[in-house]
Amino acid sequence: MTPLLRAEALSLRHEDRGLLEALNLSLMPGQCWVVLGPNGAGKSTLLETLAGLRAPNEGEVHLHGRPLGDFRPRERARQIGLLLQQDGTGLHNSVLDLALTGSYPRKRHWWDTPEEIFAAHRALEQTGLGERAGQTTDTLSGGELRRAQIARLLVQDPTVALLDEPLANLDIAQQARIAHLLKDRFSGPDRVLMMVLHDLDLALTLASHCLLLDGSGAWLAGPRQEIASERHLTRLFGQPVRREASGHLVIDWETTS
Amino acid sequence: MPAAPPDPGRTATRLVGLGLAAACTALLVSLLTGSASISAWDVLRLLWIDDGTVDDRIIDQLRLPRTLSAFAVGGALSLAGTLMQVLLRNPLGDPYVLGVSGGASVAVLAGMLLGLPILWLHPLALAGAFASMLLVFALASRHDDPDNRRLLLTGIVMAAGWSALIGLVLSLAPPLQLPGMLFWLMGDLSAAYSPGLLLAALGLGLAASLALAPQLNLAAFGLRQAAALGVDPRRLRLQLYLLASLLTAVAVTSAGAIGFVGLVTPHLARLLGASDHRLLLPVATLLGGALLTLADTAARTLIAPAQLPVGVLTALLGVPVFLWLLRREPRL
Repeated sequence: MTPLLRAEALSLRHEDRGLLEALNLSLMPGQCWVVLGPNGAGKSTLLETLAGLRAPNEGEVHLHGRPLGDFRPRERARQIGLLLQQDGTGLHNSVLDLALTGSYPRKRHWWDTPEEIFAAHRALEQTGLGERAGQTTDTLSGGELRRAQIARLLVQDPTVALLDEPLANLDIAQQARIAHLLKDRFSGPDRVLMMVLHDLDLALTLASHCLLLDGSGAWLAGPRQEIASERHLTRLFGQPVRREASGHLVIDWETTS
Repeated sequence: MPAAPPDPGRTATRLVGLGLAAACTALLVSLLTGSASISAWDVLRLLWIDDGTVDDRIIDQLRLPRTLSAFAVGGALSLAGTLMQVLLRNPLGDPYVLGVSGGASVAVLAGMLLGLPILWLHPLALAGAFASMLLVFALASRHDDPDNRRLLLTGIVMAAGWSALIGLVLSLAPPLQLPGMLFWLMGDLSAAYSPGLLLAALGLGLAASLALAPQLNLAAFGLRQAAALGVDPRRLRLQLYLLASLLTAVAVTSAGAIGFVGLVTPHLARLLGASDHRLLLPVATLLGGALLTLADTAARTLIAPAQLPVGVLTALLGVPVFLWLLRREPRL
């Protein structure tokens, strides 16, 4: 089976600092990847590179077995969706306007078709913003804006969904709700989901696979059971992680390093 | 209370209707107003019929060209302002913020200072606008600049440089030349290009902008996000910059640096409910044309036979309207 997205000997640098050396990674259908690592480890840079917004310093990214550079931008955006960590609020645009931008990659007409408008409304309802469609985006709270951006991704409906801290700013109930929504929608049989998360508990609950980046070039990738160990995570976070009797990995917040 | 989802079709009909009504009213008012009193009936008749009378020549050779020029210049400035605001993702963007008008002004004032013939001023203005445009883009475009902050800064600094040069020319100019220079700087439609040319430029600019409108809707949320959705950010940036600058250059070289219209009419259109660029671009264009046409009517009649600089009147007319709308709108 060809991977949906594959990184081959991918190296990323920020100015002179090497973030990532020779990453080999295959995103297979049905997987749910979680990227973990400290601040500045290159997680966002990696997602942008995998989405084709930034050329890798070395190596290549392949989408459905074809080099990513061979795709036209719109063709690429039909396959790969990216939720940026930082995202703007627009110029006096409504929440519906924001969700509708997700239909651009597949747009065939200059105007919005009833199907596109319906899809945008449905996505807003799924993210709990059905009532907010007519408001301008700058009236939303941080968590609501995040959910509107996720609604845009639902409208875009990509096969490879790359999300940079999708659950930041969401309250606990919304985190759970959106996390399940994302997993249902984007890690189905012909899709793959990759998320950058900071909440270890949530990350290990959702992930089928983990990618650990330490920011100095080293990386570790594989199924969650193999990768998410006390030893690896303690070293990665610089904070003790221990396994409780239940089998859960938890951070030991008492100790400071 | 949750806001009801707007019905896009009805909003569009209402706003385009409003824009067209404003435009028609302004054009009519301008045609009907002047030192010679010609009845409304005669004005409408003489637009279509040539009877060789004095009234006919006043309408066909004076009022109609001036009215259409004012409309086209106002529309072009407003369209350029709307494009600039998306390009820079900044509500303070206006056609002049990146220095296009500064370049044109310096070239024209230098020409006046050197006593060049009046015929040279239009080409000089155009050359100045282009020089400034290319310089800013060449200086700013080399780097990765997803929010166009570097472009904005480069443009603002360049505009500051131009305005210093304008000050220099003004301080060196002999007193006799000063009024002419100041009049040009404040905007003056009495020496505009032929209205046909201006309207054609505006029509082309609007058509090109409308073709880009779906991409502009994405760019309003940031070029990086637009890129993630399949827009080529470099290409869009270049297209936007060229379009906005060319429209500004056309407007400035034909009528001087008329302020306010380009900054405020896009906001006016947004306050009225047009945020989608497919709607915002035409509505802002119509409103800008209407505003400048009305302002110019006032400029040429208030203290007739003398004329006021139209740029002063756009602001005098526009400021109260805008402030009133802003007060009604709790957020912007």
